[in-house]
Amino acid sequence: MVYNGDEVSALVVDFGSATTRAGYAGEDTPRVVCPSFYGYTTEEASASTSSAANGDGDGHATNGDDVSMEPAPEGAEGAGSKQKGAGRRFYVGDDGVGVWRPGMEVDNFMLDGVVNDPEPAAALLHHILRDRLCVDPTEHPLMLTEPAWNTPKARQALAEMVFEGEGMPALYFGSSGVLSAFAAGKPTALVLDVGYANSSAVPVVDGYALRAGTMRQPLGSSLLVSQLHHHFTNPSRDRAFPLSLLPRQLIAKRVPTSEIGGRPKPIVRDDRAPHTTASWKLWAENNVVEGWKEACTEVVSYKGFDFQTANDLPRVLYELPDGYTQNYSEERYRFSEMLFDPKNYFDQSFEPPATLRVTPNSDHSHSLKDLVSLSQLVHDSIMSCDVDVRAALLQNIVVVGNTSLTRGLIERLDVELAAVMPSQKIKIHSPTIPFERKYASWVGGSVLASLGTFHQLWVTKDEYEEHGMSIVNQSE
Amino acid sequence: MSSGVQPSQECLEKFQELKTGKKLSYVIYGLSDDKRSIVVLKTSEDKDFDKFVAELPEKECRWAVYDFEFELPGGEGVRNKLTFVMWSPDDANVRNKMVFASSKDALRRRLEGIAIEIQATEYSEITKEAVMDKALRR
Repeated sequence: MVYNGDEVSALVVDFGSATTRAGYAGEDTPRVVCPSFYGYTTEEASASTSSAANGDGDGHATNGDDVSMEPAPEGAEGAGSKQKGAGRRFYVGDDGVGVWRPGMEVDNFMLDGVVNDPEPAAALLHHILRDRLCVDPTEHPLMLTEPAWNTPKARQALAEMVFEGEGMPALYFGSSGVLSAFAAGKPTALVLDVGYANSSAVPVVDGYALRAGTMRQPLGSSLLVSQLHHHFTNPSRDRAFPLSLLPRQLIAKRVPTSEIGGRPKPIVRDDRAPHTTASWKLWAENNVVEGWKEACTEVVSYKGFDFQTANDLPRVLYELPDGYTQNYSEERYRFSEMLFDPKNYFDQSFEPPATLRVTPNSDHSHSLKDLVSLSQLVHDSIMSCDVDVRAALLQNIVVVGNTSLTRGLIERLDVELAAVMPSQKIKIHSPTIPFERKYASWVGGSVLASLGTFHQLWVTKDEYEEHGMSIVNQSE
Repeated sequence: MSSGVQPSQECLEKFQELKTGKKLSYVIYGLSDDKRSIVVLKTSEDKDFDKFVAELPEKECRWAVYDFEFELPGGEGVRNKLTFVMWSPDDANVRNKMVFASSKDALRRRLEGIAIEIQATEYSEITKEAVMDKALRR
């Protein structure tokens, strides 16, 4: 079905905490999904390890095409991303963090769901537009998604990036929550987004996100992965040794171990190991854990998870990159239990990722120390809305976000909500197609930006140049 | 946030007719073929609620206004309440849902005198009892 695009050929970019999604408006799925993590080297670091860099091209070129992003590719065009310079050279996109480089540090330009460091974000946007979508940005309007709690500072940085950095002709900020609600066919809905850095509940009424009822907390797969990382890198009940969590990039050869639960003996790449930064190592290890989590984790469908009965739970065989193989059972359920019972299952005895500690305790957010269950988050969000809309919100709970794809999560949420709000009519709607749930706001933005009638709502470059940010902030 | 899709003049005229004429029983709205405006797909004088519900397709979104007639409890007489329905079945595709959801407000706020509003995704949410329930609440 073609929606009379009127040759707008708009683009949609959705900056997320774990991945950034981008593509053409009107298409079903984003063309580009790449990490919001980026690699960088500073000038001194890359100079001192340049010999090691040369030694890197020794036949491990499978992923080593070293497609790098200069801060200012093709001279003046990308000047927007060089300004503050500071000698950082960025490596963004799929060939950014995923490719091992000597002395390369890893960071993420998102913080608390908001674009926090515009310089690498601009480098990624440039890479996506020029190298991945291969378009001339000056010919395409851009829709950017933003969370309900986006900051004026981040908005301004994004507008500058789009108009001044890339010279794009028009921009529109689409509210993630509203786009997700619309994509589910609902002008009124409570959108629960369980993502990487945060889980958030955003009430949407007649197409507008209500700031008053918006609640968020740093309970998502990032916290889950950090807890699992700690679990794997320490001995456990049925494992006498810590796991290496070595990523494939640091393994030269694996010695097959036929024995389940046996200690693996990978041969480490000694040429790389000494030049690996702590931040890259942690990112790569977390990536290994993430792989385990995606494959193994489930949520039990009933309240009151019990370790004693846990051995009856179905097992899954999983092999880590270093060769460690195990039939996992209760670990598949124990950590994800945190989503519904953070008081008992979030272990605060070791340091959680620093990036999750920035979320404050406020009327609209819970800090890491005061996490609540997803059901409570939904409850609190709905209860802070006007009495008149509560019933409609309860019957239209839309669940999106990658972490919401954890098997059993929707069923469990149903059980938990019924317990928190008995005698209420509650209805959860969750897109059945996985990518519509994972990329809900991108998909919504894609349809909206492709509509011929949406023209009138774009903020053009001329308007921006004449009025500045005030015109961007007016458009809704 | 809205799509920019606007209702045609006919949408408002048929609504007025329903509201004042006491002849029409319901109006069903949809999108024009070029997806640029909201148009009237059907009007009917049939008061049968089930027939009205049957007009809502399984796999496509619709908007509708139904003149809901009901008896007050205790024999206090018959009342009418205009009911606005946002029909968005789970089986509709995402584009269809997106356009209807983002255009609803443009239609809804032009219709004055709506007393009941229903946002339904399946037939079980749009029964006589459900509407009755809302009608008696206020």
